[in-house]
Amino acid sequence: MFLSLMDELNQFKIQELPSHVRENIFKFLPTSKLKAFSLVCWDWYHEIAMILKRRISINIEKFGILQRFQLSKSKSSIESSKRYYENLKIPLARCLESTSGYLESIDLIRNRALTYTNTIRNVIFFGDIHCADPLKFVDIFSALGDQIISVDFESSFIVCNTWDKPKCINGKELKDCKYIFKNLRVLKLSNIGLQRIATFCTNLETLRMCIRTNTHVAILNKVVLYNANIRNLSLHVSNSASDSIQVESLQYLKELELNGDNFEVQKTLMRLKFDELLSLIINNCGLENKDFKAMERNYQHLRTLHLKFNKNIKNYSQSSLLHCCWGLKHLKEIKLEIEGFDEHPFNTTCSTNESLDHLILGKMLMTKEMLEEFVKITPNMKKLCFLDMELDFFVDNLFEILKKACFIEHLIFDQVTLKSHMGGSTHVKQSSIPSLKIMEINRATEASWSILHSRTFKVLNARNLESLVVFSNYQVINKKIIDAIPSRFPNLRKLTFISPQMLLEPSFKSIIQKYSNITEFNYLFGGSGSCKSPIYCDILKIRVRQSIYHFMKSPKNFKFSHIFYNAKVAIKCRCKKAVLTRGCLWNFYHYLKSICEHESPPFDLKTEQPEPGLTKFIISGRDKILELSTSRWGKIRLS
Amino acid sequence: MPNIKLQSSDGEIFDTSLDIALCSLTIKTMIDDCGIDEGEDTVVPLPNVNSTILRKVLTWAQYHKDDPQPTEDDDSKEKRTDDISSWDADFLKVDQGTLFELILAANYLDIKGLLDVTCKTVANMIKGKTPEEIRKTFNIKNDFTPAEEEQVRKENEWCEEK
Repeated sequence: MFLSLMDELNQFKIQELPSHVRENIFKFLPTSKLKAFSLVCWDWYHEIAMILKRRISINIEKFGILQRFQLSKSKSSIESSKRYYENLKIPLARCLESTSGYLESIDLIRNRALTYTNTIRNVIFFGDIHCADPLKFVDIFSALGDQIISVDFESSFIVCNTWDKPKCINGKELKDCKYIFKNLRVLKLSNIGLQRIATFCTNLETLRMCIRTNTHVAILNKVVLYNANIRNLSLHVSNSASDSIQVESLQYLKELELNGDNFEVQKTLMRLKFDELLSLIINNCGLENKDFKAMERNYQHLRTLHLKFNKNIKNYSQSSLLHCCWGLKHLKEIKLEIEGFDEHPFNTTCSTNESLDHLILGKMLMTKEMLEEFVKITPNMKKLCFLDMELDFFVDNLFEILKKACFIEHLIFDQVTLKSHMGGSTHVKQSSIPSLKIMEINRATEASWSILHSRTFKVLNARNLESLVVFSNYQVINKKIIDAIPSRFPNLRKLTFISPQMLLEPSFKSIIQKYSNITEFNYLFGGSGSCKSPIYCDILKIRVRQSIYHFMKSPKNFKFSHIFYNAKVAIKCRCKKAVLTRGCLWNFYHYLKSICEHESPPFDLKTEQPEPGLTKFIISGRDKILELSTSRWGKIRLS
Repeated sequence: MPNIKLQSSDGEIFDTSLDIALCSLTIKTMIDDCGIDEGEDTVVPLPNVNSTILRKVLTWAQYHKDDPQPTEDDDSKEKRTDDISSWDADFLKVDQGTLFELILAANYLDIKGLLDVTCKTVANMIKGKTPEEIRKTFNIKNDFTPAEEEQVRKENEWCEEK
């Protein structure tokens, strides 16, 4: 017994080490093993996640330099120097690792390759790419071997000027070309340059291309000829390309997306027959009535249809559009964005569509009668989204109408505008929608938001609602919303608050304690002060959300260091992105302060102004001290 | 090189050469900031290090006093742990409690070389162990609920060896 007591006394107290010291230990562990160690305990889980993230982010920083190194004009031809060729592989592979994002990087690590080249499968380029000779891209892909299956020039701006010169591949038949990427399945080209890369492929399944000139049309037609297996085709076709696009041989086409202002191409494509086409998306639709009919006839198997009409397009009738769309009897999802068109679309009788269950309506001015019609012709509607549009009727009426949509499960209001008088009468008549499981009330103008919230939480009774997402424009949580939860939504399991700024009164604990049914609580906020739609990948939000979620799950075991650590890392990340403003920092300070007030503070919070224009926040916790100082807009120093 | 007096937390005074003491950035900063002149009979208090550990730290510093200054870390690289010198390996053949105290002292005194070699030693203790073995080795409480553990396991699934 004495010995075991001695053992215990002598035991290494790794959990009592400051977290940065523990990180120092983790630094000596191989990346491939680190993830497995996150199973030891929560502290390790958070710390290891941060280390992995940092390792990756450092690679991303290096990417810029490596990119210039690889594509520099001053380098002699890649082929001329075998050594350079070999050297190229590793840095390129590393930069590909970073460009492919977090998961891809781990994917590489999983394969334990020191020179990652053998494991690269998917490549994403972004940022400006300066390249004198685009053929070098082809060389690079060739250098990486046949293993690449996907290349995406995501948001790249490619500056190249010699692509069309004769020294490139002009005049060469594809069969004679030494570069053929048999295994490349996915090629997504950005809007500028590099179309010819597609001509080196013979087995593409996904192709995204921009067609600006007739040369590009010729390239596409050739690519189609050698890649009969294309299933997903995304084209941006400009009016300046006048030659006809020949894609009719793509008999396996399943998804077609069209962008650009070349309406003739859109119209031509509607007359082709693709038996297996399941998804059609036209983002700047210029189709007319006869084209809708052709679409209905030729694309009977469509499951998904997205059509967006800009406000200057008026050479069609909405009733004809709806008639044809609802005539597609296998359709599951439709998204209609109709801007600047106030014709009543239900002039003629529209047949009901039994298969359609997901309706996204955008931009249009929605009247009570229109909504009634939509509900009537879509009897199996499960999901309804009002997107960036105006509702021209009382909120009370909205729920009265939706009562008739017997199967509706998911309702989304995203940027909905209501006229100020559209709240409803003082008389409250409750509408019960028992099928409703998920409701999202996203951002809106302040007036509309206020009406939408106050009436919704007065009149809607959704006893089976499981998830509620509420956007709050204000600095405090609207108590009415909170009070409405137990009586209106007794089965709520998941509650999400979204706010453009941090709420100053995060009474989360009392919310959770009051509603014991809630098992998941998320709080997402924007730190920059701007009211943009919530971006879920935003690091700060996610970190704080995770911390609070963790806190809510086990308030007894909660350590302030969890949120503290995450916030510190989040601020570091945000600083790198140069979006953290002084205002945001103050918000963060207030946020921590309010948490202090709720949680008999285990730490001290104070500000100092050592000199004019310099503000220092000093937050000393039980086990940590975070010092933030700011002297200029966006300049933060952490110590 | 003149000597300097260091006082451990339990009051013991260590009269040591200044060049050895200056391995510690903390001591260096204290001397710079407080303006302690050479030859003065000033005692530098080190309230976070006891005499046993301070003696070990000074032994380590004595042996490594001529080592080049360590460079800044490159976080993007995995670091080796198989390059511990035989002298350091022997020096660190201590019980876990002492190793823990040495890490804390190296951290407090800001001696990068000692911190790295002690951390490497702990990393070697972790390597090759399962999470459960690690918990046992370091007496860590598993604070995951079974559901959480399952969730983390799922998250990790794709990076586990196949």
